[in-house]
Amino acid sequence: MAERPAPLSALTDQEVVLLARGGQERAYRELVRRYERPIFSLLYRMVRDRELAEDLSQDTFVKALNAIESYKPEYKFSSWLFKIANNAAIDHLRRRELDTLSLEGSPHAVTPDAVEATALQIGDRGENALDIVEAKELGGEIERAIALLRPEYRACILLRHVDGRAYEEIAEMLDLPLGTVKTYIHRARNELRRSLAHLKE
Amino acid sequence: MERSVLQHLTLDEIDLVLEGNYPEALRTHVNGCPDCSSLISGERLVVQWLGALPLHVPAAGFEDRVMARVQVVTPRSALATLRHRALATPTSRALAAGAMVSVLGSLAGSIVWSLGHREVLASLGMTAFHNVAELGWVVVHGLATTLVEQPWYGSARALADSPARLATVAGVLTTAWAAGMLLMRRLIAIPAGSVAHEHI
Repeated sequence: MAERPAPLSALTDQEVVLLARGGQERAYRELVRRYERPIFSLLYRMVRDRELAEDLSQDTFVKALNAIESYKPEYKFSSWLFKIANNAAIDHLRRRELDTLSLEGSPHAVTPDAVEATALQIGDRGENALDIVEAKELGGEIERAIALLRPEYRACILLRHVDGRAYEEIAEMLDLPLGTVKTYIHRARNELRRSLAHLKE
Repeated sequence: MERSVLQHLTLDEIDLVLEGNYPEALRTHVNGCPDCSSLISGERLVVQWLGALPLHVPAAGFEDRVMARVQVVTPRSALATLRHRALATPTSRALAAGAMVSVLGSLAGSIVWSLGHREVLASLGMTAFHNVAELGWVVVHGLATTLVEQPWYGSARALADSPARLATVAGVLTTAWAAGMLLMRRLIAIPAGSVAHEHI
């Protein structure tokens, strides 16, 4: 009598990685499902272009999953993945000067549907229409303020306060000294505090 | 103004206050100092806003697009893994080549020596066979003597005299063995029960 395999959602990242290394495609898919939103969100906020963020997210997962055998289980899988994603974003930003954040959709979108599909989507958490408009406006203001930060400040503050990573983990991911990470995060908070001061009322 | 505020609290102290886990002396200072109080309330608001930012969602079909570019690992046999590791770096390749030369050299040397010393090998073989056979006989004889000297030997021998009794004993022993195997299997089986929050 064959036993029912445990649902992948109940396994730790390390256990899912072991299954992936054993050649199980469903384990690969589980890893993508777990991290597609956090990775895409980080990259979207870093590069400020939806299509580009999606390309970089795909590259991140493809690079990580094709090198799954070289992943060292003593490190957190998520740290490894975020490090690859951040490197992809930083490499891109170094190569190219970016235009400003578009809340109305990607500059590459040419049809109304594409504009709609690529517009910045701020979460709907069940509020009424007025709340949603206010949340979108507030979210838009915050996204705009984040977009104005220097890329290295942006990466640090997003990892710390949006993804909830520890300082030590961020330092390891970004290959920066711990003190530098703390300073960047403090400066980023300072700049956000100043640029969002008008929202406090 | 900003500089004087920074002189009040270090970066680590600001983090402690934001995390809500800070000593009483720091709390007293923050509550009594308008600059620090304003700084902390502003930072707290920023942290709260950042924490409330929603996750962005990639376009539908993202997972399939990723998987179309991913090469799923094919599990290797132990031999294939060994070969892969041996060929991975120049050092491992050199070590593997050295080991292979040693093994093949030893093998070739053995064959050449054997071909030139057949009579020695035959003599060694006969002596070894004789010694092993003698040792085997001593062991069998010793075991048989020990068995016959056991107090329960007579009763066991009586059981074997009747085919019906022999069959009964064999049946009881087989049943006990099967029950034991079944019990062991149940004890070592992984529970297949549902997981908490599995439906979420």
